[in-house]
Amino acid sequence: MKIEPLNEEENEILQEVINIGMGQAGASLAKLLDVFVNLSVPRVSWVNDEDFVTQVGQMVEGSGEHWAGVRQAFYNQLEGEAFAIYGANGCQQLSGLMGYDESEGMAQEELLLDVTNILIGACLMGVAKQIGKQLDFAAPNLVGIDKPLTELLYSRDREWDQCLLIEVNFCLEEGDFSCHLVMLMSEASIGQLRSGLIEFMESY
Amino acid sequence: MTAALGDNSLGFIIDRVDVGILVVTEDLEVVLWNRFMEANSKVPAEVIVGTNLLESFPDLPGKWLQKKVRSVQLLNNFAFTSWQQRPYLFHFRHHRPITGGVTHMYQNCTFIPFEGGGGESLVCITLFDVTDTAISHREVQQAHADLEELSHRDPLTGIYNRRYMEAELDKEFQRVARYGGKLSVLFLDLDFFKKVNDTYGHQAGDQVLIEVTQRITAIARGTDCLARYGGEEFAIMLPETDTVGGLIFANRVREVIEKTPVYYEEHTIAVTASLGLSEYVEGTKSYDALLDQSDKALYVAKKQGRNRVVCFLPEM
Repeated sequence: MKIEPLNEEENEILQEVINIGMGQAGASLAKLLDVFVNLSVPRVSWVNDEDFVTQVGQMVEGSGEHWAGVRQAFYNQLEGEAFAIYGANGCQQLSGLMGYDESEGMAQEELLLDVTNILIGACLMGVAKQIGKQLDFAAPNLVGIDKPLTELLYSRDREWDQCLLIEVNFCLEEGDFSCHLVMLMSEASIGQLRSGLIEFMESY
Repeated sequence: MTAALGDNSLGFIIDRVDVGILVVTEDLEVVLWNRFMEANSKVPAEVIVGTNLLESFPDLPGKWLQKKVRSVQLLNNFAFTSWQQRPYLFHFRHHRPITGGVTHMYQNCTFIPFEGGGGESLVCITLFDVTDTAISHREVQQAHADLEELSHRDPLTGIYNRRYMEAELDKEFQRVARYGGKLSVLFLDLDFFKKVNDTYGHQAGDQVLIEVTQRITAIARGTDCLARYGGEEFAIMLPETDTVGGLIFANRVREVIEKTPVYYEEHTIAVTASLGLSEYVEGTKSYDALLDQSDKALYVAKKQGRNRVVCFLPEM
């Protein structure tokens, strides 16, 4: 079934909803970690399966050749998959803030998963709440460490033509920690997204 | 929820479901402790409910757990732990007392924030026993590692095969070409090996190959990479070795093969070998070129009468 893409007005509201959602996420993360958090203005675009890796590549450009990636699926009224992409320094800087003992052996990997879960959870919940949609998360899993982007975002037999790509950069005001969040919402969510956007607009 | 289920039914299900369920307050005071938790920890609910979780389980990562509980409450979002990074939260015995193979139960956990009846902020922790998954994962990993190792080896002699050796040589070549250093390659071919097979049979030939391998291995360094290159042809990569060092090694190999015959059944089989050596010099184009040079030197050694070592010269 061919799904009608969002029109210009709907796209504008979507951008607004995402801006608000991300802003709230930033605020609660700052509260949790007790540090100042910077979030870039989220970039929202519709991508097809061929150019999505290139698009993401443009956003992370310049920060190195190899990254660590964590994937997390979300489902219910909105569905899709999100990726958190970390540079060479990973998120070691956050270990203390997250209550990790640095001497723990597997702590680095678990920290990546933990931080990803918090960042993706906060951002997407922020969006879902705005438009009154329910969202659940599967456990995150490590896609790879020290791998090129094409391997981290590799997918087998993509079943989709188009999906909604939301990208945001997250960093701490002090230190060099940064993370690139890539959230992809499937075509199947567009109907729910549209109805949510309409309700959001009417509530104003 | 259906009307047919009374409050008791839900309580019963929560208690008896084959998943660990516990509920804690933000200070880690235990509010609920189901039967799975009781049975596996041997701590009854009536003892632990109302007390701090860390009192009964001082080995839990307290600081981390406190932060985790706080983060799910603050962000009002689920959190997870996976056995792959954190094998378990609670150190429970596994359910394989007979079949064994593990020392504890592997667990996946989920942290779920919710509001209690009195508006207090609570966290439900669910614990899944994933020991079987962990075991099969480990077996697959092991099988994968075994297969990979097997794919590097020559089945008869147990030393590396041509493919693996060439891959290693390529890496070493690139390292030397970039950072400098020495690298030599030695080719070895057993003289008149076809005659051994024809005279004493293929099993005798195999025995010769196995014993020659053992003799070379015994004098090679740990960093040398010895491979069976073809039928009776061997290649040895000698890192950090120039022609002088390579010649000393090559002659020792030649001597030990000549001096020690191979005994097979009632036969004493005399064996000799011809060897070709070449060294990396600046301008050597690729590891292929190095192999090619050693092969040329080996060919000259054969032509000059066998049982000798020849170094590659540009005019060859």
